[in-house]
Amino acid sequence: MTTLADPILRRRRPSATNALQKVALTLAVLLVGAALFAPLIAPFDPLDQSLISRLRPPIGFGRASPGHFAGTDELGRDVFSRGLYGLRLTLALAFCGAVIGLAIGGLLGLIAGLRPGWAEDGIMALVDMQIAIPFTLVALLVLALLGSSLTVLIFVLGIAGWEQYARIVRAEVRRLASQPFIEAARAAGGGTAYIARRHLLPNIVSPLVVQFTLALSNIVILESTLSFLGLGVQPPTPSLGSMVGLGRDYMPTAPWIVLIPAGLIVLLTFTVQILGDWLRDRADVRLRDR
Amino acid sequence: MTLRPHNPPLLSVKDLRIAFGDVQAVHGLSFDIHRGETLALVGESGSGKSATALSILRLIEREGGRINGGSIRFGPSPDPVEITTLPAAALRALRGDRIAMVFQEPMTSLNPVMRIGRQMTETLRLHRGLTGAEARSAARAALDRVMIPDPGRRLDQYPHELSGGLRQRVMIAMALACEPEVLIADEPTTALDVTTQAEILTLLRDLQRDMGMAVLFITHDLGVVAEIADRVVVMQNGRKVEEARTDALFAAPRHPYTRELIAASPRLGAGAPAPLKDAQTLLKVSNLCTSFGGTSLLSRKAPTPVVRNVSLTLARGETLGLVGESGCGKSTLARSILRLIEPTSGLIELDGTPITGLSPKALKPHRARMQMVFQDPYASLNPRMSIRDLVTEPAFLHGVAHGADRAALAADLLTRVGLPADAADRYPHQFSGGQRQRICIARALSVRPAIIVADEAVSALDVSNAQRITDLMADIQRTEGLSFLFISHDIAVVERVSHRIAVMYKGEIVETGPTNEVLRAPQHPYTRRLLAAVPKGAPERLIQTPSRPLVDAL
Repeated sequence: MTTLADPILRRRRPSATNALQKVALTLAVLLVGAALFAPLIAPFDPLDQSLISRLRPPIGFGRASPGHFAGTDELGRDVFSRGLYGLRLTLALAFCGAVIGLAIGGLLGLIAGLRPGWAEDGIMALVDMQIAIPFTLVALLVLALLGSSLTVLIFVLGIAGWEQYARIVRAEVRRLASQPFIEAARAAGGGTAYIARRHLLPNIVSPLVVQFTLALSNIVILESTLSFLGLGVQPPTPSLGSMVGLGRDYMPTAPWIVLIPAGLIVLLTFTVQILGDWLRDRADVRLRDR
Repeated sequence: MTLRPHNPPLLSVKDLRIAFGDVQAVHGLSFDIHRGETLALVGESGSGKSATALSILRLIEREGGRINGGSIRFGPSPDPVEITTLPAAALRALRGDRIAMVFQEPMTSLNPVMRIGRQMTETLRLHRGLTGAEARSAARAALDRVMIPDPGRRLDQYPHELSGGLRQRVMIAMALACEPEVLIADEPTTALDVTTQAEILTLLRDLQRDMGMAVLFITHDLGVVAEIADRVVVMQNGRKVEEARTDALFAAPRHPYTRELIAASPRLGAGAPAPLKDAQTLLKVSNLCTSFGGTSLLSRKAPTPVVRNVSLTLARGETLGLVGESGCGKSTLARSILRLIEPTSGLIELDGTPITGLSPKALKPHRARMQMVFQDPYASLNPRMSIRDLVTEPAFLHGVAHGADRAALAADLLTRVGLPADAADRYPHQFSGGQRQRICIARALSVRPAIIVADEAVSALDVSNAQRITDLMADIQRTEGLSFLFISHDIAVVERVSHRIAVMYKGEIVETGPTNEVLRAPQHPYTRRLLAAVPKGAPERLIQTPSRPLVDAL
């Protein structure tokens, strides 16, 4: 009866999820491979302009320009090559941003969970502030003041999501702290650092992985927003977000300029989400052997 | 082997089969319930008794199971309703109106953000179409029926303002509000103290007599069965192994499993270990007090004393049983002795050395000498750690075992508690409750402690598993000379293991002495009340031979 009472163990529907996970795994390899080897795969330099063959549609439509099989943009640059380079930059930015957020938020959340009192109050006040202020405004202010370099951008993307990690980690630590097995570890003679490392962290991996994948998708979108507003990645360097932003004006006449990067964003977030679920299950010993 | 009284059955279950996924939980169960009778469904966890109860209201589908055979007929014989094929709307009309259910956990079966009155009128509105003042007076009458004091005020209270016993009364009042023909009670008293349990059982019995309904009572506790049931169905692994009238079952159990259950059920008066002679004092607690609260910066509430002026001693090789109802401070006392909670005042001496006031660092070597086994074997083992790491953790933390030693130590410990040595490579979720409690004991043993504090260590286990665990503890005590502080709300289990007994009430120890003496001639009124409330098993026989083990008497 115990297994039935445990919602985690009841949740699985193995066959359907496995097929989906295989698709996501293949996609992840393809996307990361494409990003890593963009300079080798890309048929053109993503910055090369050719005003004669501007706004050409993808191959298969009339007026298509040979070689540019995903078409060209308003300056005659190859959309496929720009998409590959954009993917490369966006992936790097999102990953760095999500890791920075995880590190800051995870640490502060752990402290808040373990040290009730002024430390917790202070950290949670910061969290509330971050939630209350629209982050796009803060990002705009920081980028406007410090100028828009890649370093600043990574930092801004990193602090964009830390409060969610902090909230999750604190709540999980507080929940786990009342579990008998934590008390058992204390009774056995374990100190706070030992308990945090050996007992708390392994048990909060699952929600953290899920949050990490959500943050990754959010950061891709935030980067697009910032790039669209002209404060993110500066033209002519392509990122998926800036490509969508710049291509917006041509949507009615040349939709492929937007569709290629937008499609990549969708694929990327989808893959990350499914992989996140898979990782969460892998991290749980109770689900591994089923 | 079905007993068939003359009137036709009100509820008739035939060849019922229930499956969860690919696992068959109930294999062809049949029984009848008649108007005005109480049928007890008895078995250990996993025997399929709760699944059966849920199937009767077709709530089993919500739990991920399904009925894959058999029939459940409800109603008088000319045109009974077949529940297994009933459409959803007809089922909803049946649930709560003609068949009602009371669940085990009074803390979680009530919606915490709804007033009692609103929750009660909900059922009345759905089934009787009552609204406003009419519904309110009906709800009040329902509370009156279960003898809740001051029912008018209760209607406007929230669940957290009521005690566990009152909440269970509210649950019963809600179930009975529409005067159902069948009441299904799934372990309704398991989460309650013995004194409260006795009150609820009396209430259920009286209500059944007044209303003439049929009651299906699900429990693992044979003591409760003897108190309340007319007939008993004993289940094991999804099958009915025996069906008999209650008195016949206790007088002459036919199936070996029934005999095993009866033998394993702790029964008051079954005899206690004799007190040790000239034993050497190991632990001495004097005037210990522990309070909660009053330390926060923001709230300046007066601290609440939970343990008040407690003094006790524990000798080498002795088991001291600590009994009391939930909330009386026994767990806080245990944690204060282990200094998991900082006591407010008082002195704790371990082998002559005072350990109160020691810094965490100075305390550490003493910690190794006192280990604890917790109540919930499911929650007290980190689900992400292997058994090897779990059982050797205290040894590792105290620098006794490192690296390869841990594997050898784990194998040794597991063998000592009667588990296979290769269990070390597995994880907690792969073990049953009883096995997990063995793992917890192995963990406590890993640092060669002098004292093990067992806080309700067998309360979450089935009777036969509980007996195996207490036997294991006695074995370890005999071979290694350990002392146990055995905390339990179940006085019959305490009697079985304890040389001496201490009764705790509202934070104080009200009575202490050799187990046999305290139980035979209780001095304090609370001890007497506690003893009177314990279900008697098979009452007539117990009264005849109070000092003889009841198992022999059968």
